[in-house]
Amino acid sequence: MFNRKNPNRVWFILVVILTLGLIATACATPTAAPAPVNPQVTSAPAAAPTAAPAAGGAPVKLRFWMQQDNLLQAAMTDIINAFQKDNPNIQVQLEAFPFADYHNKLGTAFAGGDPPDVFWMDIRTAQYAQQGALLQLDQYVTDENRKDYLPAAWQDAIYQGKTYGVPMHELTEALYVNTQMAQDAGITLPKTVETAWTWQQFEDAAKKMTKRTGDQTTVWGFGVQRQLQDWSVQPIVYMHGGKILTDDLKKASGALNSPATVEAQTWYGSLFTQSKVTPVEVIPDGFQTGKYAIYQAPSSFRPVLDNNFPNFKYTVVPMFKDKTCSVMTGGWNVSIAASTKNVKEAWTLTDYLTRVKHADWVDKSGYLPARKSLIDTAAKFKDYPWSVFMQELQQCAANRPPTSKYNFLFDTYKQAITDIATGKAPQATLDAAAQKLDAELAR
Amino acid sequence: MISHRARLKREEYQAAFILLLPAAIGLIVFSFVPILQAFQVSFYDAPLLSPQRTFIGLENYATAIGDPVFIHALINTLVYSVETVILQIVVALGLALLVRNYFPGIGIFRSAYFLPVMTSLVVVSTVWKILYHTDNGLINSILRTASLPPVHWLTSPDIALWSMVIVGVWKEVGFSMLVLLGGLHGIPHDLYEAGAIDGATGWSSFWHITLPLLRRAMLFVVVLSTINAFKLFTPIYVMTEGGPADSTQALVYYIYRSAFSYYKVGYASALSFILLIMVVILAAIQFRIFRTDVEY
Repeated sequence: MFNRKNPNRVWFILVVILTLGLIATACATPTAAPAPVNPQVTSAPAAAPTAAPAAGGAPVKLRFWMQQDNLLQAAMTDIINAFQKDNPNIQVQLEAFPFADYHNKLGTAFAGGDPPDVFWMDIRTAQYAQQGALLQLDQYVTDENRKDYLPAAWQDAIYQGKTYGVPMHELTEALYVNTQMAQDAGITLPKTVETAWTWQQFEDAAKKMTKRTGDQTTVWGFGVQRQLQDWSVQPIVYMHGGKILTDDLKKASGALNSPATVEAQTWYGSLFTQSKVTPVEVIPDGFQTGKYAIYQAPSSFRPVLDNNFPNFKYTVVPMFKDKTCSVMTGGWNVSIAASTKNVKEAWTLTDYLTRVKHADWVDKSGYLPARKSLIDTAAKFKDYPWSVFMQELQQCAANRPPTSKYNFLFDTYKQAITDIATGKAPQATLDAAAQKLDAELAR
Repeated sequence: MISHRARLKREEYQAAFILLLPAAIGLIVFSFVPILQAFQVSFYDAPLLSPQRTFIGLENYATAIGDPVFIHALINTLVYSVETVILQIVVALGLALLVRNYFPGIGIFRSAYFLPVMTSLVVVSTVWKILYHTDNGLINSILRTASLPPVHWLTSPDIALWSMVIVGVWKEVGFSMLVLLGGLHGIPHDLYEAGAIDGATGWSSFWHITLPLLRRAMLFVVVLSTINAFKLFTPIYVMTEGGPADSTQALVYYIYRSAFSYYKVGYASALSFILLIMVVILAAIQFRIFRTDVEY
């Protein structure tokens, strides 16, 4: 084999074969499903079918993606196992990703032509639907099913009048107050939307609980979990009668830089620059470590506090209000990829998660119910502190604009409110942001 | 009949070809082919989530030239590059001169200066974000202890980009130091002796002997630092997300947002190629400036 006169030719052939083999291996279609980001999070253990597959039901495997979270995944794994028992011909492979990476992963999966069959989707429904990525679900959602939901629950799942997702649950925000700090400051805490603080009352309470040593603030009167984001700040605009985009979602001028919006953003910016009750930079775990006295956070923050900081005393207080009350609502919906080859089974799973097991999911996940049938019958949602969230959900619900340019709106709005919080003039900043948005929305 | 020498030469070339082939194939398949595909996509309106693509010619490039965010990102990136490269060379050269001569424990210093280069940029950015925190960060705590006012490292539009420069220089200066150190060690000592005979010592020795003979090493450091500076992404992603007031909006970060947040893959590809052209032009200019006829 080895030619003494031309040994290099043999090596050349061997190296080319080896290299081509390596390339072929790297380019081969993977037979295993992609592993989740966190190696500790693996697919839900597939419950062994207890009976033969249902008559006429060929075995089907569905890929289901959700946000990574220990509590949520444990709850979902139980539900998936129950689903597989009830539907032995359908096997569900559950994968989860951290929220910060979730849409990157999902978008990349779509770009690569290999999206999951069923997945969690949020306010970005319009973005995905506009590019044809989502299956339209109107034919599957019955009137009875639709009417059982709170109206606000559907807002994020509908694009151009068509339904592309089914709500899993609801989520809203409230103010968490350090009970001890409030007592020390002699502040009475409201417990209903009717008695919620006005802007002035809230600012006074925050000022009273802010502590400084020299020019260093040791306790901030107010902190926000989703600091300087649309979720937390847009309700301020809505409660003052302002808007972010026009009703047809085609323009920002006339809405984002309207007098009402500018006034609202000016007041909110003054909390940073004038009364200085809140910092621009987030302090991690700031509320539970006593760095924030009042903390605006979603309803899902309660289990975090109760499980991880059981001795920390806090009081849930409704969001402050102005001309009206307004609190952002939303949550995860379940959507189906338009390219799925198993539409019937994907819908069966979607319906199971969002209707059959809704009560179970709400109970285990700590999210709020989205269905009226559950809200009306479950006694616990009438008890404090659930009652605060439920009252806000039913009386003060607001939604983010479900535009197909949501990410661009998110970035532009976040930039604008951060600039205002660091001292830039609100009117000029919002004018510039509106102009930028108009150009993008027109494309 | 092929001469013995010619045959040896041919075998040498064949051996070189064989040894380079795996890397070359990898580079072609995993770098050049995707680059060509991206170039092709730059002429299309290509949403990320949909396989549908519409040919639009040079429209993406025209849009980029009129895009105020792109122009702003470009200016920020250029300013960042100039500041980082100059600072990096000055600091790296200073460190290289410090650790040039042997003394006991010199290895510890050289390793310490190189350590940031080995550390993950995500980790570095996260740690610096904590250090830069206005209220709870270590840097402002030290300033307060020294009765100095705290600095808004990441929340002031006038300072935020400089904060990125500090991180960038701190991260890469060790590598530049090593390259310049190699250059310094390559300068024959008898040149300094000959210079000393003519009265060149200290600063004049550095200016007339060291610097000219360091040009090649300097060229390598400048070109590499410039390319790295233009690739600025991770510190922005971790620390500022382009703010405050777009003061840290950089090209690669904007390209990333365009592709993966705004789902405009065609536009992002066009921006990438504009960036490529700029870096090539800059590198060519730097090669011209740092060309040298001085050899030793």
